[in-house]
Amino acid sequence: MAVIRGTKPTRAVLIALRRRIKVAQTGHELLKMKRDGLMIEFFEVLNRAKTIRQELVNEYIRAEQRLSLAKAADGTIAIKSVAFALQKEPAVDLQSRNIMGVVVPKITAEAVHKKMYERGYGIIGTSAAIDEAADAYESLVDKIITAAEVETSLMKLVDDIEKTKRRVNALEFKVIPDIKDTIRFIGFALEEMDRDNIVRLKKLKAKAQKRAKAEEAEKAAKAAAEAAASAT
Amino acid sequence: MEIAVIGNSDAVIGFSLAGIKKAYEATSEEELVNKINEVMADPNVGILVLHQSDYNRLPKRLQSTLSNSVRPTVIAIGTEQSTEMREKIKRAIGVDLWK
Repeated sequence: MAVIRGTKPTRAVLIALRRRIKVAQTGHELLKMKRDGLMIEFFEVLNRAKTIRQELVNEYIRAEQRLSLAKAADGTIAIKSVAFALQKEPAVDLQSRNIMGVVVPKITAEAVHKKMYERGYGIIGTSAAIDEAADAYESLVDKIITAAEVETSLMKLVDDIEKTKRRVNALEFKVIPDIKDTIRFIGFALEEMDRDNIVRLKKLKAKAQKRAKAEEAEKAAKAAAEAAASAT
Repeated sequence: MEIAVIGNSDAVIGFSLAGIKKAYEATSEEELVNKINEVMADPNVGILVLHQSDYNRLPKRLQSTLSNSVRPTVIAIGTEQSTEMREKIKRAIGVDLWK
């Protein structure tokens, strides 16, 4: 029995504890529901994250290869100069979404992948290798944008699932049983006090009766003595 | 908002080809940490891209700050798998669900 330390066995505390256990039980139910909800969300995101991670790795390998080719064909400086000529910078819009109290990012972006003539550098002045490298990196960035959202959501969800689980377990196996034990303890203590009181009252009553009887006897004796005196 | 990249020279060149202006080169660990702190403080950066091997080199404390950050969102790319996510899932769910 794990009674909460420092509780006084009084009726006021008992009532307060009864109220607390009600709150703890509702909280436990709610947290359990939250945990289940998070789990469902988590599985959905997990499936997406797995495929996106795989695609991202593939895209990354492709991009690195294309870049190496471009470097071999044109040299680093040529690529850098092309990069300087680019006009459009990929822009993303970061918002946050709320899944059962968990803040996850929601990223929206227009496609980074562009047509060759939209990039802003001359087509004639550069080689096909550079075009391909740019192309590969653009689609890599597209993938990164989706992956960033999904993976961060997953991370956040996992964190919160752990937290919620801990809370549910703490309530279920520590807080609620402790309160129950304490309520039982206070109940016993109050009963014990009741019994004490009954015994005490009985004792007092017996004493009072004894005294009353003695008084009566005395009175009777006095009366008898008076009667005897008047007779003589 | 913009995308920022911190990595080796190849990554910097590649991502600048995709139009990203905030591509920084960092090789030593110190440079890496300094640049990351700088980028994290930049309110215009929405996504920070790191290389997985660089990410693994970072101090644990910084790693957890990065993985918990929403604005900017940090993502590590590379061929090697990160064990962090796997471990976390294992710890939270109790089962290794990652593949």
